[in-house]
Amino acid sequence: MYDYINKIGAEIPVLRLGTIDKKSLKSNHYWLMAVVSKMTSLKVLKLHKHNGDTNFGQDGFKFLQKGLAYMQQNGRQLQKLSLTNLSDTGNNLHACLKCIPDIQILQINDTTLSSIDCIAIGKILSDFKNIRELDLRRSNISSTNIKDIADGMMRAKQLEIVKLSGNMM
Amino acid sequence: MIYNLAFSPKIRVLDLNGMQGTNSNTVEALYKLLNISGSIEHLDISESQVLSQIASLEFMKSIG
Repeated sequence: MYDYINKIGAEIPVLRLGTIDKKSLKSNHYWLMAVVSKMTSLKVLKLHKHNGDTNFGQDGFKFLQKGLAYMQQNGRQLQKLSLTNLSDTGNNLHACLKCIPDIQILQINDTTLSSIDCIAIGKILSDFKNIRELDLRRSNISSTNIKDIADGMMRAKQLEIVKLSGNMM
Repeated sequence: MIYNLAFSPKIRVLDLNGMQGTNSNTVEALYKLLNISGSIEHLDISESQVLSQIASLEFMKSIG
């Protein structure tokens, strides 16, 4: 994969990656930081987990954050971050987004958001003033944890598009 | 949360397709949102349980 990224990575604006079990990796999720760092045109990053695969985990987010920090140091930022079927995104995601202060589109789909996740999403909406599209389709948002997002939603004056389909409310 | 979107002055698209477990509070929140917000252009409530509860004249007036 590194050879591929080295050859054409600079020309790719959208990257979709599946999770990898870190037990099968020699250097934890370092690969993620390396890939994100090398793709100088990257604007959209989509991370997904197939059912049965290992979750991304705190380590995955840690190396993602390092990659995003490298991008920011070099004057680059993602416009869109998409997380599909990943759990425990909340606080890890907020830390990652600190390196993408101008992010415009945030997608968290096909998962079960915990109360902690929802609180984090509410804080993200308050803190990141350029998010104009929030996509939380099929995230098992319930009437009990929806209030955690709602507070942030009220402060998100920049929102243009909100997708909540497939949730309980 | 739906009602809180009324405080987002730029909100254009609201996708509630397939929303489940809705009650009268959800319908009321949606009604208030549509009354207050002047920016919503696209509302998708297809295949949502809210559909069965919005067939009131007041609600229809709110969506123009």
